[in-house]
Amino acid sequence: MRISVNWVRELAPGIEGSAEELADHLSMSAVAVDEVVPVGESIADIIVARVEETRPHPNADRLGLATITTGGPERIGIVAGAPVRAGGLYPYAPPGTTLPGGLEIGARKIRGEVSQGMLCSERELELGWDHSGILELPPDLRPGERLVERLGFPDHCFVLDLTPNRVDLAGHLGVARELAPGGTSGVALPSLGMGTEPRSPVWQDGESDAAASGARVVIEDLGRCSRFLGIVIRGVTVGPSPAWLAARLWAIGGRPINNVVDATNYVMHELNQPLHAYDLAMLAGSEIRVRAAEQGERLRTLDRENRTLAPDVTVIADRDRAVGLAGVMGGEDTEVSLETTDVFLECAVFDPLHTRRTARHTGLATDASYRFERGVDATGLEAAVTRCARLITALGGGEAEGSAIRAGHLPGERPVVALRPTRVQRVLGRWFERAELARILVPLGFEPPEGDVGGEADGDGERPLRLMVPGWRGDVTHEIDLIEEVARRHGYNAFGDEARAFRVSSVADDPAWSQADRVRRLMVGRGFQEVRSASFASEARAGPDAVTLRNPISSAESRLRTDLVSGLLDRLEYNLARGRRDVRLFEIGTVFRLRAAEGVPFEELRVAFVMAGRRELEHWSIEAADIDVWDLKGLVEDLGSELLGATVEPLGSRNEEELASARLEAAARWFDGEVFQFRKETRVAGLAGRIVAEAVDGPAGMAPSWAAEFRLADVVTGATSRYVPISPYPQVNRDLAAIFPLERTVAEIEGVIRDGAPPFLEAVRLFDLYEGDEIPAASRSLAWRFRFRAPDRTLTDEEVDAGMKAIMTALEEKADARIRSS
Amino acid sequence: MTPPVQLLDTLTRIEEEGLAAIESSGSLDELEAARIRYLGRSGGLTDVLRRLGQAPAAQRPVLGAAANEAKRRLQAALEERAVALKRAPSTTRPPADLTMPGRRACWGGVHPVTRVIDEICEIFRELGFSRVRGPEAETEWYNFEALNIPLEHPAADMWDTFYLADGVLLRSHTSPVQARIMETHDPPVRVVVPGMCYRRDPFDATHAPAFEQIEGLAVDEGIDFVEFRFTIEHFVHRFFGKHTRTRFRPAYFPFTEPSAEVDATCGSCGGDGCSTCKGTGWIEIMGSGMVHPAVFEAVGYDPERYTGYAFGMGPARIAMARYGIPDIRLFYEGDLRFLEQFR
Ligand SMILES: [Zn+2]
Repeated sequence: MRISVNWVRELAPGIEGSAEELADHLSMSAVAVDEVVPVGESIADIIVARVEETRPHPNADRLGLATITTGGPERIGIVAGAPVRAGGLYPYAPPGTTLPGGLEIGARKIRGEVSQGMLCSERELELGWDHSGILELPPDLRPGERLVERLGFPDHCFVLDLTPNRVDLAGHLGVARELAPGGTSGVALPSLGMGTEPRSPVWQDGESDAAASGARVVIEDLGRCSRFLGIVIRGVTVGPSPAWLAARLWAIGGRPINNVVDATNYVMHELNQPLHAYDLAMLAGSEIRVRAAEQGERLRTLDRENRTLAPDVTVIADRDRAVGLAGVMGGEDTEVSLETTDVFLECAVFDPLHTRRTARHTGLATDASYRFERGVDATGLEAAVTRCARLITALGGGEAEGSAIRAGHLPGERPVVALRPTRVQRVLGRWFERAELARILVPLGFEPPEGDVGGEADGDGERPLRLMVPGWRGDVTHEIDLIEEVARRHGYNAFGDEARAFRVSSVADDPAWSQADRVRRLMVGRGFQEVRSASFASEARAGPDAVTLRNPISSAESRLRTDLVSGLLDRLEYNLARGRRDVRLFEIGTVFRLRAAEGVPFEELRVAFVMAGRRELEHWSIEAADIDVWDLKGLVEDLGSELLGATVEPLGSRNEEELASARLEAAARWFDGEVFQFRKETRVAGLAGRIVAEAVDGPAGMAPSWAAEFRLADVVTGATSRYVPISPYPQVNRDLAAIFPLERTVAEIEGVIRDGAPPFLEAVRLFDLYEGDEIPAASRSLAWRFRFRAPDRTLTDEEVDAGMKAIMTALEEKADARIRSS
Repeated sequence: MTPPVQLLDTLTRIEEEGLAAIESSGSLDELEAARIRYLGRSGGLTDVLRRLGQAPAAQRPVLGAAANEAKRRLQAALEERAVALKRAPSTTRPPADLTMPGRRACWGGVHPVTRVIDEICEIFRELGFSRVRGPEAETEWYNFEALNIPLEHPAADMWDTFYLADGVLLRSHTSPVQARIMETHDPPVRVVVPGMCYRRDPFDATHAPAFEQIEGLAVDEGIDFVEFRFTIEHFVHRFFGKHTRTRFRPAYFPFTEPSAEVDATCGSCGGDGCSTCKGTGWIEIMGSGMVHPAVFEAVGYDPERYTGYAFGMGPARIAMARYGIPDIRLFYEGDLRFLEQFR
């Protein structure tokens, strides 16, 4: 929202300080000023010129020649880049001036014709964006005048970051009230050359139907429009606005159209009441109806768009058809044009919700819809519509009819809100006396109701301050709203800062965060870099039962991810494409899945990693090998024991049911060949393995990539360890090598060893695999080191020998072993 | 009982044998075997010392001194031999070029946004805030209505929201967790809530459709604006440094009132104004305020009895200001050349 500082100063002459100081003050007490834009600062050299005559450029179809005057006898020749008309006034940059954009103007030959300076467009003067033509200036200017002075520039424009609650600050009067010393008592509306005697019309009231001065208003749905005022003005001469009015509109980024339309815009930006002027002659039956649009009803709006409407949309219609979008934008057919003489001026209260629907349906957001959606001051319509009518007649002549229309509900009583000083203290932590509170709030328009002596004591014996809310502060409905007013006007930074009593939170930590901490520590220590990515996936990347977004930004982000590995593969490819060979990434993030029964999908936090490249960092002393399945298995075994309290075992044949119950099918899509599962008690808690080769777009000859995914909730955090006494007696080591048929797995053989071993077998470690020439076909030699130790005595050689013998017998009998050496 | 003279002889023999064994050791392993045999806990010398107690009292000092002397000599010989054995290979190789790179281990790193989240949470944990979380797929009730945001109201436009189904959405802020926590816990409540949020903003230099937020909430009897200001200033001092100043500006959030935007002096220029702070000297760090009574009503707290404050901040934005990162997309691309800078 844009606010002209000069305009505000005109409304509140007591305001002092630079634009920057005022912006600071607003930012610190009311609403953030995003930017302070200088207006007209750099057009100091621009002079008003009148075109005396025009003729075509002999050498260029698109250019024209003009003779201009700047008041003196001298006639100046100009090459004009766009049409101008004889008698029109234009901004003229004489040779030697510099335009706002930095362009230096000289006498220049353009296609063989000399141009003594140039005539400027709106954009060249930084008064707007239009660059399509040369700006025609208001007719009340005189050739030779300096534009900057006649427009009242330089000015500054505040760009406000308006919050939804403070719609009152969209109007200059609202900002003036905030900045004026004395608040509401420090502002006054200028007469704008309208004379001093305001003439109030005789209101013809009716609830849903009212008529006056030959016009009629029917509100078919008071839910859509609670109040509608209309004044008929006859005999208006529509034409360009004077310089002062054009300057006001330029300063806030608007553009003058004609005196009638400009008057409505001026009053809207001044009093914050949107107004609309209709060409009365174009209103069939001189009738205005506020109603729901019919399904398929059509309307061409002022922005030259044809629109198809639906009952969601509220329209202004005449007897026959829709002529405007209520509270949003007028229609082309009834717009005020140079031919218009009789005007119907509208000032209404359109329902916020219905305005929002109308705006949403048509995709429009206008100055009017902005205000109606947030709520206008229902008590301010009379003042606004009469002021606008007077301004129109002051600018364009004609006369407002003495009898005017007022339909709809009477605005309710101004609400009264009670404010307890003790409550102020409890929220703000500072005591304000009643008088102090009044001193802060009354200037903002919050006044004690007439005859109110401060309210009755409530149950606690406290006498609250009772304050009537001004019509323009519809956002204030409760005591807390007044407390905020007190806080901001006192100044947030004027309050103290003190520690209060310490309180122990009744809420326990969610374990997920300490689980995530553990995962990060371990993964970082193992060389993995954490990544974070958005939870979106394409339809192809998302797994089964993915949640679909109703309003995605793009089709590549139209689903929610069902696993983390797929996203990590994208990140892996991203790095491979940038020449990285060694990539180790992990992510902790949420995955989602449709849940049949309810609308809210299932979600859970997962951990996943991906790794590709070499086992170790490159070093001159070694030839680092590619990561293989044993690197993966060792890592996941560590994760299993350190993080999950889970064992790791090969996922022989995919058990679809188990994967489904663990919701891991989505991750399982990416694994192939060498795959493991984390098993926690009887449940599958995660997967790890080799990534399907086609899933990674990497350099030619790239070694396989490896990944894993598991649930964060399975990470163990509590101390589950128990002390096992340490034996003071020596250990005895023995080795054993034996030949086994290939179909005997190590897990199976070690099971046989444990079953056959004496209780003092402390540890078994496989240390060799040999499949050379001396070994029979379809078999292999495996060698283990056994560590024996008893908790209560030194083992004798005989005991250990007997133990080894028992193991060997078991291996021969139950594992088809042929002992090679022991 | 062994006569003393015999004991002395044994001692001499052990020493001679021991010295010979040490001298002839060709490797550290052999040397260790000799040490165990002659000096170890069940070695020869220890055995002699153990038997000293059986010698006549008058001779014990002499024998003891001799035994200790033998032990000293054996130990000296052992050390000498160990040094000699260790030194042996270096005589056959020239000294290494120690400027060559060492063998480094492969280290990973946490994401810079995680690092900021952790630091923020740590400061609030010291102040007695627990770390909680809530679902990312939310209902309209928790995301909007329970937070005093009517659905069809311009206030709801402050968040452009992704919808999953009727009334179901991806939360547009972490604030719904405020309501969830208060519904299930009685005051005093002091929590911080890190988590992902989603808004329909396409990726650009300063926007991400999914981003992290940290919510904070403190509710009890007697919590006021003054305590709120203290807590936030304390946080700013701890996180940004003692010399950082804080300012509170009016703002609007439907679920807090009074609402405040909190700025900290820009770390790049110290408040003088630079490109990071767009010349203002201030960096916006959080939205905050006193919990709105309507929120208390929605969750079943007595708004007359309880007061509190809430705040929310974006750790990615804070990380951008802190590390001088110009584009928020860098956080989510997973480029190792970027991520490895923050270890
Ligand atoms: Zn700065």
